[in-house]
Amino acid sequence: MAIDVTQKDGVIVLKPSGKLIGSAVSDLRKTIDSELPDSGENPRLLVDFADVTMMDSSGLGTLMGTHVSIAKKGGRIGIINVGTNIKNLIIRSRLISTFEHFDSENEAVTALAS
Amino acid sequence: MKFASSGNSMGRLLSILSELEQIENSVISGQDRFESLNEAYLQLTLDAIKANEGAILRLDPAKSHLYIESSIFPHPISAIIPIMAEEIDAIPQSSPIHIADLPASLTELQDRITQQLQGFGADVWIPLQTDGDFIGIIALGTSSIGIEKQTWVDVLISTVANRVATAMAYSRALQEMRTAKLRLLLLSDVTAQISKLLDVESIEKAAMNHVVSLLDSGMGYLLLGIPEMRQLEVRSHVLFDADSPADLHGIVIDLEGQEGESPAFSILRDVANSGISQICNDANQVMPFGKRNLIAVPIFRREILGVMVVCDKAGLDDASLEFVDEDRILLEAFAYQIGVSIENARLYQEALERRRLQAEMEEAAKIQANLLPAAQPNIPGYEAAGLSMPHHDGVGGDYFDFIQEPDGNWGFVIADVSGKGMQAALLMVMLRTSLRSEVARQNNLLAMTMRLNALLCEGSISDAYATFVYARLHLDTGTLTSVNAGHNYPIVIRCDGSVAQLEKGGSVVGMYPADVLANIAEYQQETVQLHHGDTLLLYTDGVTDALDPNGDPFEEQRLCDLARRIRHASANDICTKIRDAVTEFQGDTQQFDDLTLLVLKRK
Repeated sequence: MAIDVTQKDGVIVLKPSGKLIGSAVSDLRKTIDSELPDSGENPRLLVDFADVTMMDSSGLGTLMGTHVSIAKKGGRIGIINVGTNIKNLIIRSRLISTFEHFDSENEAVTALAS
Repeated sequence: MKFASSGNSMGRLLSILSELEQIENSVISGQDRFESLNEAYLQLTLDAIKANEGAILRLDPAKSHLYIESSIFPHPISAIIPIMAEEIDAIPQSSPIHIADLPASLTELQDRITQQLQGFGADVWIPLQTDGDFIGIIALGTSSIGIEKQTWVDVLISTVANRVATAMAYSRALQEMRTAKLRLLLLSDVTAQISKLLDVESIEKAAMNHVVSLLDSGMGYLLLGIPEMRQLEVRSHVLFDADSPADLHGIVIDLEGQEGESPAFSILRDVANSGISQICNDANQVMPFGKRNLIAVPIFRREILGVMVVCDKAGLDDASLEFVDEDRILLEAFAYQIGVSIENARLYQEALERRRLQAEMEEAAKIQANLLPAAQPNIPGYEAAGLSMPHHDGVGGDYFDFIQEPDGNWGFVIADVSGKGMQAALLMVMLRTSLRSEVARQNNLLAMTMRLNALLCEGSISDAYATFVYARLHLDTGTLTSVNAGHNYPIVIRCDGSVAQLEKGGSVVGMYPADVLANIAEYQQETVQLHHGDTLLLYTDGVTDALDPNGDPFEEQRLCDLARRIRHASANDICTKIRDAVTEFQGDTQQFDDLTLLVLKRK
């Protein structure tokens, strides 16, 4: 899957597109693994779901795995533009408090960079 | 005219021309090759000047010496006469050449001929040419009638010489055609043999062995592409020449190019990048692959698979020959066939691998199927049923179970592990084993869930987790206590048609250690009373996330409505009716997740 990676104010912004399911999930994990070592202490990651059409348990697993790695380094992970289906999956898994949810990229970057 | 002294000169002339015509007809009709008639040609030429001795000396293909094509001497002679390129250039075009008029630059050649032909002193040389290229000499001995320049005899023997040269060229062309035909027959035979091979390595070896022989060459290499690396790797080589260069097996050529490397590397890279064959007959450019020359052709399918290289073409006596266009055409045809064979072999190996994976998946599916309860439990005053339909690959991550606890109460579990295939199957086995072990320890549900989380975190594969609901039925009171770890909300359908969802619960298990989990969502348990006719419905997201052809999900509301409508059916029927409704809802859409249901109904 295509994943757009940018950096804003020290926050790594990942924008995957397509279906975040099954084997496509490993692409996201690889991208995250290659970006994180360069992000130093307290890594800040923002995942933009605007172009993600579907996410399954594997996709959620990757998000949680990333959260675990980032939390160990004292970092934070935020999400934006989450559609109804993905939001339901996150709510049902009682993870809504795990990922900081923001209404816009600017708001997220400002909050995470602080 | 000197010959005019013979009264039969005209008759003899006519006779010679008639005989010449017969010989040529024989050559042109293909009945006889020039090699079998050359003596007749020579005899005819000797007859024309009434000489007794002579030879047709032919230039070898490497242009380094003359050899005897045919001779009429008192004793058989075999000889090789070295000839220099300058001497070839110095041989006059006019014909015939009287030895007395021979240029000084050719006297050494004449001496060599005389010496090699055991003292045979030719009076006349008739150069043989086709298309302006020197191809040999007819050397004629002393004429008994004497030959003077500008006589009709000169004209006659020149005519004969031209015919001889034409016949020789024709014969050589015919021979080459026959050789080409033979090569094509060999090629089709070889490709038929190779197409039966099913592994790439055997194909590489067989291909190179055959192609180097077919092209009369000393060595050959097969390089295959490593696409993602943009490199060519020497995979197979054949070295017939004992004095071959060093072993090049495993050598890699970078397709992006490097400066200061051997020109041969550039040639092969150009062939791989452009898909156009190249011939190089410059000995300075072909190291380390060859010593004299090389031909390189691409191996094509939809894209370039590699490059086939053949080096050091040689003739008889190890004389160096140049690669020509015919070699290119032959090698390209061969490389095409090898490309097809390599691709087929790769597809075959992939199919084998798929079959192996398929067998592994089937095994995993069997393991999973064996983990599910074989029969409905017999619980006084209740009926329970469950079903699980794996997604299209057959190995999913859903699990349900009925567990009788040590105190006689019953536990009902439904779970969904993340991922699919072997990883999911493994995690499911871990979950089931841990859960049954915890149930046997009679822990309370919250402690049990924390223990499960810790066990799965320790042994789990990264990024993998499980969601589950465990509902404990107290048989004496009809109360149901449940815990939910990140799973879909259980639904309770009352006998009167009212529906409630059990929304209390914590996060998934197997992902977060206990201390982190405490900050996310702590587990909570929930208790409801089941009355007569009430139903508990547990399900996985394969039900609510099932998509119709428009991409719309089934959703919980539709499930609640359906459950309400069919609440009076048996537990088993409720399961099958929901499954059928979801299948119908999906239409032709492929099921991408497992679908699992568990129904407990108080009679």
